[in-house]
Amino acid sequence: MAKTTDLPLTETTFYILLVLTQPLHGYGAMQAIEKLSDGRVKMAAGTMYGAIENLLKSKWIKEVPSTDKRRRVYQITPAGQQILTAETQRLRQLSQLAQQFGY
Amino acid sequence: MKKWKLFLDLDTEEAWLNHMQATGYRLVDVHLYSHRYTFVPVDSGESPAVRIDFRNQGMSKRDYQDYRQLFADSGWTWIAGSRHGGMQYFEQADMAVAPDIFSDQASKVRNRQQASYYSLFFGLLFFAYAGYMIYTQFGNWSGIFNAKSWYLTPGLWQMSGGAFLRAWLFETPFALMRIIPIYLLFGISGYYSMRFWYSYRQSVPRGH
Repeated sequence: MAKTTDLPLTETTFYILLVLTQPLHGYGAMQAIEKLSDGRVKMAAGTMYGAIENLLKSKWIKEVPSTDKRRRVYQITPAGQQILTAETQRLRQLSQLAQQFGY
Repeated sequence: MKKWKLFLDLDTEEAWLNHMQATGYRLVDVHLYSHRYTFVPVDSGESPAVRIDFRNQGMSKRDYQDYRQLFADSGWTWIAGSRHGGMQYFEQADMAVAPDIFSDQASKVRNRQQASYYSLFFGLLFFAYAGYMIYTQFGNWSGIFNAKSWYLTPGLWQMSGGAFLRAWLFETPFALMRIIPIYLLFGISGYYSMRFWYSYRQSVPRGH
């Protein structure tokens, strides 16, 4: 279960977990995020590498085997999926709440 | 053109490198231990950015390959760095990409904080090493200021005239060999401690 200190996720962490529901390498994830956000979220290499390091440490993503010898490929773990579910619920509640207020 | 320069924090170093890039030079090599920067002059109106990433731990060859590949894929050419950690220098290869390797402030601050703790570790390590050398060589702290205690020849300071001069001249190189490394270690420790302090101060967000 998600710890209360894990949430809220930063926007970039949310995007990374979301795109890593498919196995991708770091640059693949950067491209996928840019596309999903209509070009609004452009992650830079240093930020992406640091984020991958942190997510691996938290065990929210893991490395998966790939044929690419030069690039490591990652995918979300069950723990990462739980976090993503909890965060989505939180965001959905917020969004519904705002709707009740006419926004 | 080769330049030797010491910096106390990564942001000032980056600013200097980018100033060089903007005045018609390109950084092609950095010698990490001697702080030697090699530049070549270019005829180009463009000034691609140079950015420094900091790695606070060593990487396997495969990890380092993957790390550099991520930067290469996103338009950054690796210039210098070691897979065993420390500064990694990158030059913008694609003028169409944003001129930074960090896309948000938080990740940059975290990177600079890691660099400052790394400096603190080396500051303390060299200080401890210098202290250990003083302890084993002199037995007490005051030994490093007491030049007479650097000489080991029994009765040297009771000698006089030519005998003293010969013995003193003979032993001075050995005395210097005992004391110079200690001052050097203190110097290195002081450098890293200042690096820690400067970069730590910069990595703490100002205001509210």
